[in-house]
Amino acid sequence: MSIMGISDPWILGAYIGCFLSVAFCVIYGLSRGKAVEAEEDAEDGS
Amino acid sequence: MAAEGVNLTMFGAMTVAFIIVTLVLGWYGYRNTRNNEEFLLGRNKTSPVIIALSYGATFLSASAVIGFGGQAAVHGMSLMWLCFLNLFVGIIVAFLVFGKRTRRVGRRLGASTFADLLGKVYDSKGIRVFTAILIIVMMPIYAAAVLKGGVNSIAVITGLTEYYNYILVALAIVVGVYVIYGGIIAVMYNDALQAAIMFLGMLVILIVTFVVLGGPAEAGNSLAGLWDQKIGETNLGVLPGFNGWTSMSDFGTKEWMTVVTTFLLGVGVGALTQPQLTVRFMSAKSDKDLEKSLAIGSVFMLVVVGSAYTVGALCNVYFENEFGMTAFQYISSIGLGTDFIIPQYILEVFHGMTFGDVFISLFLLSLVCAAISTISALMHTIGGAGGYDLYSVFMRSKGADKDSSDVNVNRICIVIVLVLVVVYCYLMPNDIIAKATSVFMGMTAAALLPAYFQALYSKNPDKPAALASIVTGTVSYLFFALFINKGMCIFLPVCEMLTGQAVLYPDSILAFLDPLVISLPISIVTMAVFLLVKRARAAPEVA
Repeated sequence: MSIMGISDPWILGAYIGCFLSVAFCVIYGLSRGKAVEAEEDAEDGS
Repeated sequence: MAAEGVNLTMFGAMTVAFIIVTLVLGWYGYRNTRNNEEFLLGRNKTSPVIIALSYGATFLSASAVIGFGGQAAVHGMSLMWLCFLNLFVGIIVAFLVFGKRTRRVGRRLGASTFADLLGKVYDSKGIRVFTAILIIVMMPIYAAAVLKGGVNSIAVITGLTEYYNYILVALAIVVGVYVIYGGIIAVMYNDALQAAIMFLGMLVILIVTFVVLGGPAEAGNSLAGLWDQKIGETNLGVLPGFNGWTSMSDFGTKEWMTVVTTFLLGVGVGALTQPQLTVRFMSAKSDKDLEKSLAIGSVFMLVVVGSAYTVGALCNVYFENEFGMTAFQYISSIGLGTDFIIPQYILEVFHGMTFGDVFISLFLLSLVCAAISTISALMHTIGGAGGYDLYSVFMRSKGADKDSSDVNVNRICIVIVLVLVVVYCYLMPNDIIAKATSVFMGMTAAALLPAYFQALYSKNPDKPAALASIVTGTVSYLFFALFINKGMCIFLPVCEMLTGQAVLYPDSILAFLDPLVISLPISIVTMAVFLLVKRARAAPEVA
């Protein structure tokens, strides 16, 4: 398999890992924002 | 023939605008800095966007773009693993495993610096002093390398190499002014401004590179094919085991050891224990802010680092098409080194292009920003280590009952160290940015990572275990850096002075193994042994 002239799976793996990491950060970061806010409110109240 | 420098009027106008905004932000920081805690942390005054961009700009900086971008030109796309580690370790693990705990523990104990945090968790003046000294001794090496990278870029791209000394002093003064007066608030707001410029600059250069080389697929195919033309040539700047710019090197070879252990692991793992980065966590108002920072920081990092390493590797195709040489061969032919490849490429690729001077000026400004953002954060951290940590311990030994709240002591420390950094710039060798980054990050990881982790996750942190781990990590790292590793010994040639040869085993594969790979496991094992012994001793008492 060759993507954009790169056929070494190690190099392709690095690029794929980068994009997956960013996808995780964006989804996790945005979805957790409100949940953490609720947890902190609960902690402050206790 | 090499392209001439950028249009100075254009660059001058952009620089003046940048300096004005920088000084305004410095003034804003100054107005909002009333005490030492605000100088050190600016607590509760920083938004998620500012935290993310400040973290990213401080982390990446000139080192990633100029230093490691140049290394990508020589060693190829295997450097993309560093981009992955920057994202996975430097963002995901750093924010989720270390960041939130650091913020909470730091807030609970009222810690204002990284050394203060460790000292308070372990209730140890020794650990606090050691960490502060480590910062004061090691960080100037990294700061000087980054400053040198920024000055080199300005000198090459503007063609003002004869004014090198003036540029160096001017850049140091700009950094000094806003760090000294504005504290962390000015540093973080300026970081955010600089991050935005870096983001834009790197995105433009990535797109232009693809356009100039005929699109991503054509560029990748050309780079893959370049190795077939160059295989067998000896002046490529690589070591045995190299397989081309689009392939990973052979496992266990000198090339693999250098790229994987020094560039990838040294910086990839070392990012976790960066004092200048941990204060970003302590600056956050809430965990929610850190969670939000994660999303912004990761996109920023992918664009800046991913672009730098991809463009770094692909610029070989450009230099081959234009001059019949690889990037390393070309830069060597004009008497420069690896750290100049990216600035020279920018100058060449935009030369003669419509609005070329605008893009060159933008990119040069982003390189300057990259250098300034890191140096300012480093100087701020050094100022805190000296003017807050060491001075507080000293004052307490004289009878004071609380930590120093005198901002001016921090400022004096910053001025003194900044002068030393400028002097060190003249003394250090060329092509040093990537190695200096790796040395500083590797050293802090080997010495402090196990103790830092225990400080955050243990209910009852054990001081002797932390001390033993710190000492063994430091000593083993120093030994391997000064006596075994060929790339590291240049910082302090002790081995050469004692034995007459640069390292003890110059022809061994060990000479290419980064000290972190040895010393971090030693540091971890030492801590584990101490904790197991403590548990074994405690068991009979419990029974």
